[in-house]
Amino acid sequence: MGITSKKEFEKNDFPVLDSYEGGSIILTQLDALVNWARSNSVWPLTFGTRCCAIEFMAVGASRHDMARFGYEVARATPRQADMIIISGSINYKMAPVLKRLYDQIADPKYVIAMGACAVSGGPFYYNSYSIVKGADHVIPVDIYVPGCPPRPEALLYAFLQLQKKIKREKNFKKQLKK
Amino acid sequence: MKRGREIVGIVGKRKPDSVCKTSQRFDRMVNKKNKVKGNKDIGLSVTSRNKEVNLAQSETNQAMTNEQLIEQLTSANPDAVVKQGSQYPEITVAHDKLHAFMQNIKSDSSLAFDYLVCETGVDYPEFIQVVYHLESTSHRHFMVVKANTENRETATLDTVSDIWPTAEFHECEIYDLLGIRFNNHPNLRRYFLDDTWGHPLRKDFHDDIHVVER
Amino acid sequence: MAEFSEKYIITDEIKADEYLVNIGPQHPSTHGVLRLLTRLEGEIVHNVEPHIGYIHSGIEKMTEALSYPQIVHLTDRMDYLSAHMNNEAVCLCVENALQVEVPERVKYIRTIFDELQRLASHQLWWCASGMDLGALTAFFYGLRDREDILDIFEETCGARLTLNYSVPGGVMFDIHPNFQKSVKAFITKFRKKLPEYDKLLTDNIIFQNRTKGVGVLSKEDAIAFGVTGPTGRASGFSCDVRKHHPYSAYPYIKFDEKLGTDGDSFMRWKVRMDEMWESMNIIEQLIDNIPEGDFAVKMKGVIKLPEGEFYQRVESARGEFGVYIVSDGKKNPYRVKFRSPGFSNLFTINHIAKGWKIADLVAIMATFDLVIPDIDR
Repeated sequence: MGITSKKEFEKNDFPVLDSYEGGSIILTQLDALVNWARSNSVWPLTFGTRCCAIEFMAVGASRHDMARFGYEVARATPRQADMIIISGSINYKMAPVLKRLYDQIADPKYVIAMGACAVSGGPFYYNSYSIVKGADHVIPVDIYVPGCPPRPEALLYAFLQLQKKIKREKNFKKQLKK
Repeated sequence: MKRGREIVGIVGKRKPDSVCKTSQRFDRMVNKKNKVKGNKDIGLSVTSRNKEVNLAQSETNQAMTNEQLIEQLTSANPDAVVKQGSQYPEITVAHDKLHAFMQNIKSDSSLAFDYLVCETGVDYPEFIQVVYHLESTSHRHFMVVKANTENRETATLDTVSDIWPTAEFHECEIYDLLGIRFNNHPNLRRYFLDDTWGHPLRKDFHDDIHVVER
Repeated sequence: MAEFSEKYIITDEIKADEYLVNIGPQHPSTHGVLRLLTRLEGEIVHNVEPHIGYIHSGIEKMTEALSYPQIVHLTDRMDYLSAHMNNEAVCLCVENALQVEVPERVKYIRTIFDELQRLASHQLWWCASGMDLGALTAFFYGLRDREDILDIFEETCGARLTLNYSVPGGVMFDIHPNFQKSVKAFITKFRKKLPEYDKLLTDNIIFQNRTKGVGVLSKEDAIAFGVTGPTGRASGFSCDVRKHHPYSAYPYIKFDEKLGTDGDSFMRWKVRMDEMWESMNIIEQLIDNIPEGDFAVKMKGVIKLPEGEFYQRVESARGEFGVYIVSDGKKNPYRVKFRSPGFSNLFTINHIAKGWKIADLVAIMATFDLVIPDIDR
């Protein structure tokens, strides 16, 4: 993949690298380096609404210990966090708050919907007047974890899946394509 | 304002054992406050008849049976309707006499219903009912009092939040979910939902947007 | 250091040197999504107005379309830390209405599960409130020991948190063959661990200075505000439903109701710590004597309650939990109301936090042990 037009050449951040033979290999390696760093230091936001928050706490504590996978500490402010674990149901009064929290997180940001309530409304799907039928009506979700509440192992598996997803990202290539 | 700052300054200089002193000081304050409150209660609510009962009761301070309880209540309030065969002694009071009745059963020392366990609103086709579960912490009686609103459209009832402070919050919940307005309530606001909503625990509540019915 | 400033006469208009601070809905010390609108002058709290409803799910409306066995499964999504007590309250209410006598074995199993659940809840309260007051070690100690109880739950009923174990007429399955052995092993282990908890926080001078004398709730106010559970008992309000209106196997056993005198944050802490010892005593009295027999009575396929109103109260980990069912004789209830202990407890916070500093407000919140879905329902 090379630079075709002059206009595109000027727009790109790393035009020189990619215009040479093998330049894209360097970009791929750079992507891999950045993704390796990002995927191993994803810090969640302390955001717990319902029962799943207790299982989230259990994941953070002694036996399950999410720090093993780089999800080091839960931060209390969205400005220091990289991801939200929506642990519990979201209702119509809470939805604007969740949106605001999501907006405050710096890019790149990720979302895990933990538990049936966050995935689809769960036990509150039918006949409940105040629960949003799935948190993905409010913010985009990367990983869905079913269960009511999911076991800590299930959340750990979701963490690993999220790491895989982050590792597939192409940050520099994306910039070239724009 | 100034006074508060001065006190903070003094406490700040104290040695570590000042914790106890602070708590003692606070105890004194609370006692003082309760004394004032108590006097107010007696001045407002206890009638001379009740004072006599008070003296008689203090000698034999023991729980009544449910039959005695109902008998005493009906003799004082002949209009009240007593339901037979229910789980607990149950009495229905007219909505305009509710506040006086409640004040009486709290201040009367032979009844002394001082703990409001639960306050519930129930929607019926003609009226909305408010159910009070009451307990006496000294005699261990348990009783249910019911009051019906006049109609469903302009449902109003007197507040009991001046008798039991916890009722203030239960009444806000009932107002939010069932739409009963409580007269003389200090701060009636919606707790769970905002003003754009209807009152969801009413039987005729219908919402196509938010509710998926099954 | 506990400091208290004279209470002010609060008016509606905000004075020039006062300002408003929103604590929550997303704040680690509110234990969920509670919003406290606080009015401050410097650090001193003038007024706290709790705003709830950020997790309101309309459970009471939902129950009107469900049958009675289905309601049981919704109740442990309310107060998820005392899930089994909530299950039991609905089951007892239905059983009393139908006048069904459950086997003795069921009563014993339910009571043991109640107390195990209470232990698990108090452990989580201990580590969460320790973390609120700045002791992160407490978080790891508490959750480490809590996992042992969750293993016992998992062995018997397959769930860690939302048990769904009680059903109208009994319990869902019989206990696991290893149940008695593992409960006894846990209690022997936890009896050695609990003094560690005291060493870590209760005897800590910094911790004592932050809690002693802070946020005093008098007995009269506790009764007037309907504050129950360990919070009410710390003020000297004898409100233990297990003692005054015994249910399940509580009439058969001897236990003390732990009553405090001071009603301050430290006493609320102490009462909960003492209750953990008492819970272990209760379990030890029952665990060897579980009678043989069925684990459930056969109920009808469709449970219909007779017409009338039924109220059942149980002691959950936070206080008095009540279920009020109005039945019109159909398979769905006409109206269900849950009397949640947290709702009454929360709204005293304005009364007792006035005049304290904002750091003391966190200490008061921590010792109140609030679960927000229990308040919002």
